[in-house]
Amino acid sequence: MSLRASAEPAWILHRRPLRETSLILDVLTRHYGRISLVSRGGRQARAGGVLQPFRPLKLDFVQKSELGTLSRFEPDGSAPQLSGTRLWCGFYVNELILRLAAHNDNQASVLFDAYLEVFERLPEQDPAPLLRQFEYRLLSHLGYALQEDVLSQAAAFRWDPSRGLVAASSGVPAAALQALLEGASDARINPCRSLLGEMLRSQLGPKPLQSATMLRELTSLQGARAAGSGATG
Amino acid sequence: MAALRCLPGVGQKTAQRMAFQLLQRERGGARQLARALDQALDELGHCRDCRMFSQGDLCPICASDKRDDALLCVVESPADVAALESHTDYRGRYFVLLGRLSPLDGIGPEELGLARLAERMADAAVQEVIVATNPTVEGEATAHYIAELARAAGIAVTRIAHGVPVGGELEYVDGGTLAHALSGRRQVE
Repeated sequence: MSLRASAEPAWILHRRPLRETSLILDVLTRHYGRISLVSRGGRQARAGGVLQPFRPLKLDFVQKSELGTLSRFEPDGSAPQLSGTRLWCGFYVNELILRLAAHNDNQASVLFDAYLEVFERLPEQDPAPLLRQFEYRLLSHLGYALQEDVLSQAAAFRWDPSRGLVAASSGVPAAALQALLEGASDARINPCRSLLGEMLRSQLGPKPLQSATMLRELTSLQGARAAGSGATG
Repeated sequence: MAALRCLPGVGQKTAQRMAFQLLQRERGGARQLARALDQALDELGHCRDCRMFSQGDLCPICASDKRDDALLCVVESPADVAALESHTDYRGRYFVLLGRLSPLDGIGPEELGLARLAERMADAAVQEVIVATNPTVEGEATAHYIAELARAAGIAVTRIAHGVPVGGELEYVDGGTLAHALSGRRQVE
């Protein structure tokens, strides 16, 4: 395995310190999927500011084993301005990829496009449907696409790990699933949340997503505040 | 020599130089160093209130009655407290997280003692929480979480400013910093 890439579009998913000044980067690239790279001196001031998650980059790297070496990097356009809860949503997307996506996957451009779309729209749009659409695109990239042909057979569905979509009166409305499969990322697909959660859980196993736990805690803090101000106002 | 190499920036050669220096020329210094390290490891703990390194139950800053109880500054590391103490005229209290929230490394609110921070915020004297975590993505995410904690407790929260360094030139500032500096601009007085 020997790979040499130049000006490869990429986003950093996660960075870990290595010795004093270096970094190990988990990166999502357009043509090679998820890869791990060492950046020598990546923690020093100039590089450290650029080699951050949530900003588009162009990378040159050489990969001879599982861990490649970053040789050059530059920003590729401006970074989306994420703040507050949206920043946590970004961590959630990154954690999903780190937990589920395969290393060195040369079919990954679909996933890369889905990733780009999330971060293009995350600064402005309601995060929930964006995350749902991304979850679905990731799952279908992993080979768990839902069957569109069964949607006309019932009004609502639930998901069964061995059988896929199963008609269930208290399940997710067919219209919401139809919108999800058509690639919508607006409020219409919000009802799919529990079904997608089920599908993800069967992939993730018992270990929960840390960022999802944090997002829930944040929501409950915000909820407590809203309830508090509601009571006093 | 192997023991000295646990220090940052110390490789084989430096460790050898240090060891020979301590054994040949600085035997008194070596004894003192050994004693100081032993004592520090035995006696130093974390301050009950701010989690800073401390010899007693409370660190000197928390124990002092000359500090302003209304201000609480949250920082990531003990080194940040030292930096703020030596270069600013801040006279409020501190809280040291000893890290930052990082979901992908499994570091959550418990590891940072945020329950203790929430207790500190519940103290009626605190009027403003100053969040001085680093301007990295994890630092920002941590700042947001702490801000939510403070708002839930009904306390004002502020974040330290970030932008162009004093004495710096715009031309050489990276894009992210410049964008922050521009969006955080303020009225000229």
